[in-house]
This record gives sequence, structure tokens and C-alpha cells, in this order.
Amino acid sequence: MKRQFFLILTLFLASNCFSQTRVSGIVKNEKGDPVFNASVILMRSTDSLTVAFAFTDDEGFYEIFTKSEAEKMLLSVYGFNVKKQTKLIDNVSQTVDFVVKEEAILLQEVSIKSEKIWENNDTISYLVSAFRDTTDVVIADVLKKMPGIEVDDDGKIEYKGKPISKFYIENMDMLQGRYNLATKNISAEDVATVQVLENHQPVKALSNIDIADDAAINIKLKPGSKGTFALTADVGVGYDENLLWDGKLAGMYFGKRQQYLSTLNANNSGYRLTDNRNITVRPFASIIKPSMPTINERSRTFNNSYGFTFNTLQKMKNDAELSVNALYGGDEIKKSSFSQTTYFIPQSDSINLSEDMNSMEMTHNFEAGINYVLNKEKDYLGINFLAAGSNVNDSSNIMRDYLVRQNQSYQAVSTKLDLRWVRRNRNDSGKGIEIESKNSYGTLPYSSGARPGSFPDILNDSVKYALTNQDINLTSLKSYNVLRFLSLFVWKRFTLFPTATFSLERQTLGSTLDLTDNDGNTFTLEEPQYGNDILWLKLQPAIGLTFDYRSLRIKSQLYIPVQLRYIDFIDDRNDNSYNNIKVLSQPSFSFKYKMNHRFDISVNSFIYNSTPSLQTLYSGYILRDYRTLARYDSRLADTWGNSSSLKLTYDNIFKYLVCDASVNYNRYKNEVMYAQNFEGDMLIINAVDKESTGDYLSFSLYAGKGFEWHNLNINAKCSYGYGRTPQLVEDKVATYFNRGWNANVTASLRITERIIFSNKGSWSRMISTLEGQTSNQKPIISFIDYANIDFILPFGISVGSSLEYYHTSGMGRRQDFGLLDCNISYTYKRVRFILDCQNILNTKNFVYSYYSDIYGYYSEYSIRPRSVMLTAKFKVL
Amino acid sequence: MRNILILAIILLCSVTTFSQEYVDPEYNKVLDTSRYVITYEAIMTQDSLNPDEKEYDRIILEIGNNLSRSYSYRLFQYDSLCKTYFDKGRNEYPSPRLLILPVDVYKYFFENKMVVLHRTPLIGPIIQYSEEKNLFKWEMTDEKKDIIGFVCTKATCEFRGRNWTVWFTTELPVSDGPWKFNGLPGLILKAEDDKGHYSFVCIGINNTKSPIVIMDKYTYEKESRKTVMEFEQLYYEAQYDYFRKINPGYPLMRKNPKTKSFEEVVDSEKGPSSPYNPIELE
Repeated sequence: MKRQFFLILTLFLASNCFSQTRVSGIVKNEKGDPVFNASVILMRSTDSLTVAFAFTDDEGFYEIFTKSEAEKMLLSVYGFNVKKQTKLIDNVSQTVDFVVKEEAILLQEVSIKSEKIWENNDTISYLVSAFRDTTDVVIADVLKKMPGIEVDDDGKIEYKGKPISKFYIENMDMLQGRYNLATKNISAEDVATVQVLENHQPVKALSNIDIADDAAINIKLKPGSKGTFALTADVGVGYDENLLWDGKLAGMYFGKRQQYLSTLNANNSGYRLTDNRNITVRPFASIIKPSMPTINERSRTFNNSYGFTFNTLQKMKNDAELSVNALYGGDEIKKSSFSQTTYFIPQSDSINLSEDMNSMEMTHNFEAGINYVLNKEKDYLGINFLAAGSNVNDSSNIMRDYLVRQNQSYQAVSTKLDLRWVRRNRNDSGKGIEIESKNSYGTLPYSSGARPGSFPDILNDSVKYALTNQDINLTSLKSYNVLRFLSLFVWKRFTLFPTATFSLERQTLGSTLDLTDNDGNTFTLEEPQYGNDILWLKLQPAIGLTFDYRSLRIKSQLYIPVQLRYIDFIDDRNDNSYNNIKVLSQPSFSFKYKMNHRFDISVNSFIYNSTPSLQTLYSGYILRDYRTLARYDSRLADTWGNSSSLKLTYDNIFKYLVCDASVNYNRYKNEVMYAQNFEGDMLIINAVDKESTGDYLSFSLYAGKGFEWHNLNINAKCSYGYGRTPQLVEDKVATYFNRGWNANVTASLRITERIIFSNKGSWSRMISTLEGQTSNQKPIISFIDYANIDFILPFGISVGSSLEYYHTSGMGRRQDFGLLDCNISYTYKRVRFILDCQNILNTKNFVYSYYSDIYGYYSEYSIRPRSVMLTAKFKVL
Repeated sequence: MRNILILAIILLCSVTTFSQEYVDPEYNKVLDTSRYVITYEAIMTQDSLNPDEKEYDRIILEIGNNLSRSYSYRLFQYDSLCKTYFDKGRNEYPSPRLLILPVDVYKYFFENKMVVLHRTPLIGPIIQYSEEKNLFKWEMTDEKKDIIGFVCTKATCEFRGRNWTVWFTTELPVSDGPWKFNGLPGLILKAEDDKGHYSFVCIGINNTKSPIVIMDKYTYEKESRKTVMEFEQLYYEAQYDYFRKINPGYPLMRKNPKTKSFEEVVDSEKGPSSPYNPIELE
């Protein structure tokens, strides 16, 4: 029985074994060498279906198993050096060896046209409906959700972390950079698609020549929204210790060949609505008034503002675009602060000056621009004309041991004309030229008054008087022109860039001083030194060559410019006329070497030259402010200097670690010194022909490390700087030494996906000493910590909160204060509500202080008290 | 004086960095000469939630005597374009487009080894890693189909999170395929995953002799495949974090439209995200 069972078991096992066939063997070539990596396949003989396969090993051996039940099988050997050989074998385990012929095999060539269009298309389109949800009101809300696009509170857009270069509505650029008017006002439901144009070169004639790395955005409207009028509104109300309000209305129309957009704004809640960025002439004098610290705009601005803008674009018959932009606005701003300035005088006591100030500043601005663009394949012509006017009336009262009342007013008018012309060769060689010309003309009639009269010793034979009046007339014509070739000269890895520029500057300055005595009589100071009548002309043609060398491990650049400088100075009143012609060169050099995957070393050096501008060349006295009187009765002087740096960098991005160490050194030589003499606490500045040299040395270390744990990032930087500056104070040359230490640590942490925390702490210590002075000044120590936490909640609610802590000590004072802000936003049925609470701790003043060469400065600036504001944003039409 | 110092600081910051702009073909080393050049059309879905939005590329497979190289034609075009710009003396280059398969795969015929050079998004580092060649556990089927005139057999396999179906032909006696695919007794003419996110179809076969090259060793660094995935994932999930990671020590700046000056983007901002759908899911 036992034996029978064993037999059955054996038979069963045997039959099981027999159902799997093992074919093995050795493949050799005709020389008898084994063939490696040849394919051996076993196929059904009936339909050549592959049943099993193997590859030969380095001894030419192969082994194939199959469970196929076919009676006959085909066994093939081939490879891309092996001529195919096939044998018909029985489906039983066996050894089959091959001797194959080795030969290079040509494949049967095939080429099929790809069906898909896949050329490099740089346009990415987003369907607005796919990103829009019920909480979105304006197009900026939808843009924020699109990959790669970021929109800030002001409506400005970034794509992949870089500001976009152009913003088109239906392919037309109406707003010329002020496109936030559109993003904040165009209703999300009117937009069909948003197109991102990557690597967008707006000048067609420069395509494939100048690579634009910038992206542009084009908004395509829904058919039903084209050619209709739309209106959106913002309404806000709040309270600090007074009622706060904010209102905005925007109307727009986008047609096929014409577009319009107009806005109307008014608020008293801290947003200024004018800026003077297009005013090209700046006054030579000012009044002393509180200076705004660098904290957020709402906290520091007490205003009453209104603004109006109008924008339109018309498409012309030759497809050129003509756009007109106009704006008008007014700001009335109140500021108050307390400040203390301490002048360090060689071999004498320092001078202390305390000023308690209140100012009222009124500005009205008007701006109108016309822009014409003809953008063809081979030609480009852009003409931009702009006229801007600014009417400023400021007054400031200063309480010190006596009351000082100052005022200034001016009506500045500037015009600008910019031209850009590109012409590309008719054959597509990439050759061509580009000319760019920027021109501006401005006038600025300025008048100021200071009561009581300043500098009686100099201006009124030491007799005290009531009021100093000053009139300054400035005109300025500037032109800057560049010529460049669209193709460059290249030899191996060297590139040569030539450039040619021409600049012109013509300025006139006229000034007079009037005094009003205590009896109310006004007279003009007629002596030449109390006024100016100057014509200043500077011409600067220049050519420059840049040599650039780049290889895998070296990057280096040398720039050699040659400049001809002609200056004509005509001063009839003070009989101080001269002209001067000079050839200058200010080369610069940079070199970077990659030592290995982790270490880089770089060296930079440049030589610079500067001459004073008319602002520090006039010969007659100008009252720069009520306590500074200046004249620069000297010849034209040059400043020469050199600045160099060395930096060693280590980075290992795989370990989230980076460190660097750098040294910077700067040395300069001045042909004139500016003598600073005090009359009491009044400062008189004169230029004196006296050479001086100064230098500055700094070291810095940086390290940054990231951790996987909750995305923790820590960056630390510390630096030390040492400066030596000679100054001419009270007719003595004194050397001021400035030393400063600075340390910064920033850390950020993502506590959860919806709670984000960041903290930035910075500490600094500054000290200024005078050569030979034993009584050292006290250092200013400041510590600032800024912590921020954001919560992103469901249902369209988000909450943000930030706390800033400031500590300052030095200059005999010590201050600690904090600022706490919080905001919540929520969207309900296409109306966005924002609740903003600022300065919850109700801090009164923002305090800061610093040292400059000859003085130390301390300021307490009054900021907006605790305030709350609720704003709603919605579409009207 | 103060202005001069500011100028100096600006100049110091603008020193050209060595971040990976493009791979300069001039520094390439020749490894072998091709005997066959196979061209595949590659169609990829970047956003798995939007399967209709496709990205197109071509994968070129160059087969030599000792090794083969599979690479992205778009990436090759990008390098060539940058080189042309360089030769014209231009100092800036176009930004690289985001590619779905920015990899060079070198398969060595006489070793069980392949070397992969993977470019991380934008101008991130190029990472090199090695793997065994026989990663694929192919299952044969008895389905047959004609592809561009060759009788092909279907084989399937599960590979790193995707179920692949490939068609290979024994009429072309080369055990190779696009990307990492290999290990079948014939050339793979078509490969696709079951979700339809990735597909490769042969559109050209040529007996072209051309050099098979590899980039200079200073352009890449040896790291693991896991590191590649971490880099890519970070790019798709948090672009600002990614920029900070690939440009350590350089603060991420953006222009403040109010002050018209560049300011640092605070570290807590992680930046925009986009869908990530890599060919290897695990």
C-alpha cells in the first residue's frame, strides 16, 4: 500500500514536471566565442506568437521555460549584431546550441509625420470659469488662483515670482503700466479667458533677437461683455478717533477698436492718491518737516485725498495703437513728530537741537500722457509724450526754544518725450539698429519763507529780523540717447558689445533772498553773493566696449568706456564762469570661478568718477532750510574712487545649506571739501579746495539652513563695517570713524497647511567717534522683531495678524514699543468684506535713531492710533 | 557717498551666478556612435484633473555599440537655442519651459546598469543617479498588432505606480525602448499607461551614425532618485519654496508696486502650486 502511494506520487510529480519545457543552450559565433546579450525567443510554430524569451549571458548561455502545450515550437536567436537564426524544435526539454553569424544589421527605415502640433507655443490659456468660485468679485481674485500667478493688494501681478511686463485687454495695452486699475475693477464674470504669454517680447522687430524673459497677460472678455458699460464700487467706513471713510467707483467699456476705463477715488483712511514720479525737477531747498518712517502706509498717513483717472485706447487704420491717460488728484496730509539732532564738533562740545514739529502738506497733481505704438515685423516706432504738473503748498511749525514757522510752495511742470525706433534688416539676418531717446524739460518756480528770519549775522548785519523769503527758479532740459546694434561680435567664447551714448543736461538757476524786518519792511538782498543767475551745460558723448568671457567654470566681464565730458558754467551774477573739457574712463571688472560643485569665488572691482551737479555748485547763498545756508563757491572738482569686493560661497542645495563670506573695500579721493560751520545751531556750508580721502571696509557672514520639519527655514547674517570719513567742521579737518555691527535672524515655520508663522529679528549697534576726541559717544543699539501669523479658514474666511516690537537705546534715550495689527476677510454673495484693525495696542509714536558722519538723529513720529475699518467691494452694473 | 555705496551693493548683487542656465553642447563628451536612431512621439498629461490638456514632446533613442541614450527633443532644442544665442553674443537666455520628462537615460548593454541625468524644474540642479537595468517584470500576452508596418506583441508590466502596456517587435532585434523601458526581445514601438497620462509611439526609425554624447561632469551632481522626486514635488507644490531652495543665499525678490523697489518675499509665502503627475509615482 505504501509502495503504491509512493508510485502514484512520483507519477503525479513527474507529469507535473513534464508540463514545463526547459530549453537551454549556448550561442557562439563562427569563431567559437560566446555571444553576449543575444535575444532568444520561443514561438508557437502555428502563428509565431512569442511564448517566452531570454537573453544570453556573457558565456553565451540561455535558458527558457515554457508551459505551452504546442507540439512544435520555433526557437529564434537574434541580436543587433547577430543574424537571425530560427530552428523548429519539439516541445520537450532539450539543449539547443547555436552558431550564429555576426553582422551589423540595418533596420528598415520608417518615418511618419507626427499628427500633433507641438511646436514651442509660449501661450498658456486659462478658462476663467474653471478657477472662479462664488467668492470672486473682480478679476484679480481669479488671477490669484491660477498656477504661477500672484496678485498683490495693489492689483499688481507677478508670474512665477516676476512682475509681468505688459497687461493687455483684448490684446490692447491701454493702461501703460497702471493696469492695477483694471485688475481691481474688471468684474470676474465678464472675463472668458486669461492668457499668459511667456517670454513675451512686445517689440515684434526684436523677436528672436532680444530674448524677453518676462511674461505678459492678456484678458479676453466674454462676447456679451464686449461693447457694454460696466461699473464696480468699493465702500469703506471706520474709526480711529475720527470717522474714517474710503470710496471708489470704476466705470469701463471695452470695444473692438476702442477701450475706456475711468476711476474716481476719495478717502481719509491713509491711502495717498498722488505721486510725483513724473516730475523731473526737484527743488534745491525744502522745509524741515516730520519724515515718514518706513512702516505701512495706513499707519503713518493722516490724509484727505481724492483722485480721478481717465484712460482710453483707439486702434488706428494702420493697426497702430494710440492711447491717452489722464489723472488728477489731491492729497492733504498732516504729520507731527519730535526729533533731536546732535552735531559732533571737533575739540568742542556737541550741538544739540530739539524740534517739535507739525506740518500740513497739500499737493495737487495733474498728468496727461499720449502714447503711440506702431509694432510691425521689421519696424517699431514708439512715441510717448507726457505732461505733468504739481502744485505744492506746505507749511510746518517747529517748537524749539522759540517758534519757527516755515512754508514753501511751488508749481512744477514737466514734460517728457521718449522715442524708440527699431529697424531690422529686410533679410532675416538678425542685423539692424535700435535708437532710444529720452528727453525731458521741466520748470520749477519755488518760494519759501521762514519766520523768524534765519542767519541774521550773515544776511542782516547781525540784526534780528522777522522773515526770510526766498525765490528759486529752476529749469532743466535733459536728453539721453543710446544707439546699439542688434547683432554683436563674437569670437570663440569672447563676446564684444559696443555701445554709443550721448547725454545732454542744461539747467538754469536763479535765486533771490528777501528779508522782512521787524517793522514789516521787505527788501531784497542785492549783493551778488545772496543770489544766483547760473546757466549750466553738460555734454557727454561716450563709447564703450564690453568684453565678456564665459565658460563652464569661469564667468568674467571687463567694461571699458571712454567718455568726453564738456561742462560750461556761466555765472554772471557772481562773475564765476568757466568751462572744462575732460576725457574720462571708468572701467569695471568682474570675475567668478567655480572651484567645484560646492565652492565659488568671485571678485569685483570698479573705478568711479563723479562731479558735483548744479545742486552743489552754485555760488550765491541758498537757504536750504531754515537752519542750513549753503554756497559752493569753488571750481569744478572731481571725485575718484575704487570699490572692490571678494566673496567666497559654499552651497549644498541638497542639504538645504548655504554659507558665504565676503569682504568689501571702498576708497575715494575728493578734490574739494564741504566746510560745515555752525552759527549757534545754524549750519553754513561752503566748498573749499582741499583734497581728502576716505575709505570704508566691511565684512559679512551669512548662513542659511532649511529643515524638512514643518518647512522650518532659518537664515542668519552678521556684518561689521568700519568707515573713515574726513569732514571739514568749524574750519578744522576732523576724521569721523563709524563702526557698526548688525545681526539678523529670520525663521519661518508652517505649523499646519493653514497656519503659517514667520519671525524676523534684527539687532544693530552703531557708534560714531571723532579722531582725537576722548569722550566717546554712546552707541545706538536697536532691536526689532517682527512676527506674523496667518490662518486660512474654510468658507472664504482668512485671518492675519502681525506683531512688531521695537527697542532703541542710545543718544541718552531708551524706548520700547509694539505695533499689533489684525485683519479678517470674508466673501458673501459676490460682495467681499474686509475688516482691518490696526495698532491695537494704541502706540502713539514710532521711534528710531541713527548716526551719520557728523551728526546723530533721533525721531518720534506720531502714528495713527488704534483704528478699525470695514470695506465692501462689489459690482454695480 | 551713500549713493556710491548703494551702487556698489547693486553691482555686487548682479554678479552672474552659476545656476544652471542650459547645458552647453560644446562641453559634451562623446561616449559612442549611434547605429540606429529611433524617434517617439511623447504625449503627457501634466494635470491629472484636466486629462484633455496634453503636453507634447519627442523622445529620441540613439542606439550605439555599447550603450543607448534616450532624451527629450524639446530639451535638446532648448540647449541648441541657448547655444545659438550664446554664439550671437547674447547675455540672457529664454526661460526653460517646464518639461514633463526632462531626463537623459543611458543604458549600458554589457552591464545591468543605466545612468539617468534628470534636470529639475527651471534652472534647478541636474541630478545623476544609477539604477539596475532589469527593473521591468514583463508579462507576455498573445495579442498582436501592426504598428508602422511591424508586427508587434503586447506585453504588460507594473512599474513604480503605473500599469504599462507596451508593444514590441521582434523584427527589430534591439532590446530597448524609450525612456527607461528595456528588457524585451525586440524594440518597443509603443508604450502607454492605463490612465492614458503618458504615451510613447514610434514615428521614425533611421540607421543614422551620429555621436552619442553626455554632458560635462561639472554640470550635474550625484544624488538619489528620491532627491529628484523631492525637488520636483516641491516645485509643483510651492514654487517660492522651490526658488529659495535652488538659489540658496539669494533672497527671493519681487517688485513692490507702491515703493517701486524690489523687496524680499517673506519666507512664510510658499508660492503658487500646480498639479504634479510624474511618470514614476513611487
